[in-house]
Amino acid sequence: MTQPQAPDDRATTFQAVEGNKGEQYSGGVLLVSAYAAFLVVLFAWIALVWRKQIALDARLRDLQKVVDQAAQGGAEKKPS
Amino acid sequence: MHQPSSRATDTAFYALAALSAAAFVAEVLLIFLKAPIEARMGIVQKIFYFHVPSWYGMYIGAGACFLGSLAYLVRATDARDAFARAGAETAVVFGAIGLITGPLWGAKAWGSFWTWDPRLTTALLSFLIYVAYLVLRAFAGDSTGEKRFSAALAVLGAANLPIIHYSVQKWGGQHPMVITGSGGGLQHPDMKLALAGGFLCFTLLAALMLWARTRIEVARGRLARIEADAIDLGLDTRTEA
Repeated sequence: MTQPQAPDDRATTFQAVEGNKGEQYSGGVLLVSAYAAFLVVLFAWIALVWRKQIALDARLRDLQKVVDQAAQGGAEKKPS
Repeated sequence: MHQPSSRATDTAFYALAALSAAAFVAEVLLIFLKAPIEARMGIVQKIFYFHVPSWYGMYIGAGACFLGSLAYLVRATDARDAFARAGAETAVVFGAIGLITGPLWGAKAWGSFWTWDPRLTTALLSFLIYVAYLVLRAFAGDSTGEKRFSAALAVLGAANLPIIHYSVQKWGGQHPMVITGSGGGLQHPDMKLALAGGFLCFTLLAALMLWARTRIEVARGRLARIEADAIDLGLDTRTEA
């Protein structure tokens, strides 16, 4: 059985961990990954909404063009 | 030209967006500069301040989807359908955040990213229900029949929400119960403050997402009707890109 070390020994000696006794996952890396994942999901959603908005704008533009052409055609048909 | 009421709505929307952004900045500062590091888990415990509110945000989205769908089944309107669809999308976004951040916390706390614990399994099931709803809406068309079928799925899918909540009490499992009626496990007032800030941020963000998506869906529905009217009048709305 190993004897407990004195406070001075603990402060001045550094021993390598043998085998897989260390942390399996780094807390810092996990924390950064979690916050990065949150931002990625949020920005992916914003990009998706942006794409839907662009598609809607394109359909509106097309409709406006058709209505303008119809109005122009109607005006040309009117007797002067 | 914008109507005064429309301008007021736009202003309120942008004010909510600005408030949400400011709240998130304040929350990040609160989490990293004010809330203390937890004694046993260390810095990874700070995932908790976003993880729990993200599931709360998922409940808001799922609740909106349930209410919108129920209202649609009672009386079908575009606005009700749009609200339900926006709710499902909000639920999926927040559910995805919860399903990613939870395993990252579990890797440190449990030594594994995933276990088939009752809370985790029921949460995954609920997430998949809302993914199924969105897939159905994306590929099944926009007729009344498909909308009613989707609404029924959302109403039935909501039955799983209380099961997620009570799964830990009923069936145990590894998932902790930090927030309880008797005070909970947060031992420091700044930890409680950071969690309360997280709930506030995700409430604002969920409201913003619901509003934005409902507006787009309502506009899409109106545009589809105007296009149909234009076709009835003999106008060809299919123009070259």
